[in-house]
Amino acid sequence: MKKRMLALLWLSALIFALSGCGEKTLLDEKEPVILNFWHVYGEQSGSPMDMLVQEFNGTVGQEKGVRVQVTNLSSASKIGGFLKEAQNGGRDVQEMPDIFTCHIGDATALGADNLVDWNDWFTTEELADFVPGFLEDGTVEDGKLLIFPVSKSTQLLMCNGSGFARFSQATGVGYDDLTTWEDFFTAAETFYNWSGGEAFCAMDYPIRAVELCALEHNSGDFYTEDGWYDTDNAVFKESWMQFARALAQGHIVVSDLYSNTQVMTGDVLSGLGSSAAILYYNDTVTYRDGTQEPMDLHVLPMPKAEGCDALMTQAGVGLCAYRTTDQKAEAAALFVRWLTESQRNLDFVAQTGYMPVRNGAFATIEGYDKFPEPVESYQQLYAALKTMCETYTPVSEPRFEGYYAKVSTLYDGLRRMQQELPQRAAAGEDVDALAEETWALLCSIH
Amino acid sequence: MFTLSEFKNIKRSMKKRLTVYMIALGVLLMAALIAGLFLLNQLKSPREEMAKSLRFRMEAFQSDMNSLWRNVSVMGVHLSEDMTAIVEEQAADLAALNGDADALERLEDAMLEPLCQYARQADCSGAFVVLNTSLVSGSGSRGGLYVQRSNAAHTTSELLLYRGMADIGRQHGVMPHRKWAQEFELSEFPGFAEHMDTAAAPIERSCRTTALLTLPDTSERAILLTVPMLGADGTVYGLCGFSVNQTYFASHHVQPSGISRLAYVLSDGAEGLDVSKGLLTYPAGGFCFVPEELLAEKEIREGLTAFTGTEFSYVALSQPFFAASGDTQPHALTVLIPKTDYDRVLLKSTLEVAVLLMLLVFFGAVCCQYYTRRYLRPILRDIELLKKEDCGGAQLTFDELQPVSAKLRFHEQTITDLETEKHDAQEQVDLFRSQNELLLSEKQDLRGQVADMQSQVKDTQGQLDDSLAEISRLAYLGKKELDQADYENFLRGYSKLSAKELEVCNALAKGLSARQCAEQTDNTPSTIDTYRKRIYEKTKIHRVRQLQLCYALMRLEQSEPDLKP
Repeated sequence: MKKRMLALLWLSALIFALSGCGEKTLLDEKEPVILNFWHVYGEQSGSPMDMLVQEFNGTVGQEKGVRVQVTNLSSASKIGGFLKEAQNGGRDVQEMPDIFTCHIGDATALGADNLVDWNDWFTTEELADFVPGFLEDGTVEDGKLLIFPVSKSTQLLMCNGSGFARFSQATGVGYDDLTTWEDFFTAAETFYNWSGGEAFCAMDYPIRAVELCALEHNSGDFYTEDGWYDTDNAVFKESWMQFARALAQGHIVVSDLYSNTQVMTGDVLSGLGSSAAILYYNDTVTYRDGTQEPMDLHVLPMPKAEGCDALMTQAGVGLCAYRTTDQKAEAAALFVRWLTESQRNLDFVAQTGYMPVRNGAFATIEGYDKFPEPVESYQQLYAALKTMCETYTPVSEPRFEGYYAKVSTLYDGLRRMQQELPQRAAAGEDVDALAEETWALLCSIH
Repeated sequence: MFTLSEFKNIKRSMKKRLTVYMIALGVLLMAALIAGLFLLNQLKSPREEMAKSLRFRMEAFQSDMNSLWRNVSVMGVHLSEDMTAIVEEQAADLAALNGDADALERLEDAMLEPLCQYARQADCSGAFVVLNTSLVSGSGSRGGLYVQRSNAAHTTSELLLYRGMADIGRQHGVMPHRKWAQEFELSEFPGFAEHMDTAAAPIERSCRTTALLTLPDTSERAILLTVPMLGADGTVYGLCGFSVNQTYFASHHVQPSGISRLAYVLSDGAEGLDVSKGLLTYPAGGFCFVPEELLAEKEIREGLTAFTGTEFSYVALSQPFFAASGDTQPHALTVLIPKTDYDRVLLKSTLEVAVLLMLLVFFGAVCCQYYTRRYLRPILRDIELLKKEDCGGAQLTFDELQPVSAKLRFHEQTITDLETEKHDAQEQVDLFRSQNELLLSEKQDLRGQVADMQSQVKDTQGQLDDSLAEISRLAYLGKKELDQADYENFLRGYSKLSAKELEVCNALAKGLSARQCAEQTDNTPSTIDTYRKRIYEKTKIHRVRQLQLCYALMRLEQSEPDLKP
């Protein structure tokens, strides 16, 4: 009996000691740790992320001794470059931030060993509550979770409702005719002809649309080992040519920077870009002569290949932490944990047009009543996202190192070409040949 | 409280007196230290130090702000001159451009490149030109250009077209901002309309800064410096200038400071502090969270101001600041730290002083202890040794006390000798005194004896007289009754008597009866009677009467030899 009591006492002491160890923290309320934060939410306009940072600093950050300071706002496509610049150091270069949002490719370029493995700071049970595919997006080959999902986006078609209504009334083309790529290109051609040579759609990430379309047509893997495309893949080329022909004729354009500005200036009727672009749309479209009309933004799912299983891109950056001290890693984990709490994450994504990252959270958006203005556009956006989530299969974006730099080169080339190709097509040059020129551009990139 | 006697005790005690002197020395040293610090201007309260530290940072911040706004003011004047020249070259009558998109496009086309150059060269996040014309007649909007750095946190040459004709921007590689608009809505830029209405030469004195505004459709806060564009004839073509937004301000005007939790605010000069209406920057590597709410203002000591919010409080130094020459209302520059940090500094300072005092006291105590152990105690020990006659061979610690010891030993010996002598003398005195007393007593006794003897003499004299009288009478009678031969027989017989017989003879001669004789001589009467018979035989006496007569006569002859017959 005595032995049992003694064993029980030892066990209690052990549990007590271990529970004490578990609560040990490197954070100190009196000596707050400062985290410099670079993100991409609301570049050029400001975003709810800044508000969340402010809220965190005033609540949990204050209580636990963590201060998050936003020191740079950039875009998903450029932040990788800024990060690399900061890592290399030099004059007039900002210091490397403690936490930042980026793609997995940008993260691996910084060196996986230089980054915090979130697996060290989140339990398996905690991670199990996140969409597995989103976690996989941020995981590198050796299993390290470098990018913590905060929000995810996909590509959606956003239309100038006022302009489309006139177009629809004149041509009979409706939103339903934008469901498949085939119909989409037909509508684009119809608009081009109807408008007297204006592009129907500006595409932010056309190569991704080409990829998905090719995959829907069962192209198989078309990536090469060096992180570019297998130009011998016939299905991929055909998919490219489909887009290239529309581009060569001026039916579609590669957006000059972001498609939303081209929609707002009345240069194009629609934009195909990230669901998060909704944050940047103005309420009005302003034409060159100064006239304005309501945007009446209509949000539609990304078109798919006719007769094929639809695929959707699973895009969006996540949160990454630069490895410095355990204290900063703990502070970063605290911030990330706070940021991705169910309701907070839902509120954040609902403000910014992203998809929530927790399992089952998407279903709760249906009855969500705190959308910002224009509410109807946000409702359409989430209806489109819901449709895609239910009927499309998500595909992660390529994660090759240096891939996005090549894509940027491709887009720059296409932007230059689209200045002259439509005129040449209008002048009677063979459209296929013009499209081949764009293919040649893609093939020229290594 | 010390009483006088206690104080005297202290004065008399070597140990206590030394303690008092050491305390006094400590106090004097402390006073000297404080006086020295005071004279060297190093003796300041933590509040003063904090105020000085904030003042120092304020000076640096003010200098930086002077430099910033002087830069944009000078650049603004040049920009105004250049833009005015372009307007006058392209379209002197701006009113004619109203509603003419092509003409406005040409003008903006001419302006965009130089404007971009200015934007890239100036210490700003953006540059703008607001023209006194509009494509939409009767509206509150004005045409113009507004270019912004594409990433305000970086000094980048890439610019975005925030306001202006999109095509012009694209043609010059200045892509439309995500919240692009073609014209300036004057209601969204407070102060623009009023400045255009009141603009007057010289433009150098007409540079103004707006109150902090939020750039339309964004959450970016900015202060805009506006310079009027005045034609030679005084025509106001519009405004131009530069903007400094929050992102740019925080990135490019990081302040040097050794304090990490510090915030620098350039705000309007209104009562209280609302950072949502100001530009914030921080020290290099530092950050200080300031909530976006109106913080109540209250003056505290040393020229500092306390700013209090619902949950956070700060201590700050604040002063008015005129950013541009034409400003009628000042902005305010504020350098603030969290009150918790301020309190901590005060507490730390207090604790440091306390610890310093404790250390001084501790070291003082240790020194005293050490001094006592190493110096005072040996002295006391030596004194103890000096006190002892026999120190058991122990050596004195201090050589200086050796002569004292020798002298003391000598004095001790002298004292011992004197004491011995004194003791002996005392003993003698005592002896003499006791002898004297004894003699006095004896004298007294002798006087008593003398008196007794005198009395006895007197009695004896009386008895003698009586006896002499009796003897005379008996001698007279005996001479008559006693025969000389009998008497001579008696004397011969008497000399032959034994001692016992003499004793009985004497008793009988004195007239005692046989019985009385027996009692006196402790014999029986018969024995006495026996002895009487022998006495009679030897003395040849036959009667008592005869015996008595012979005996008395013999005695008389013995006392008065001249009485012999």
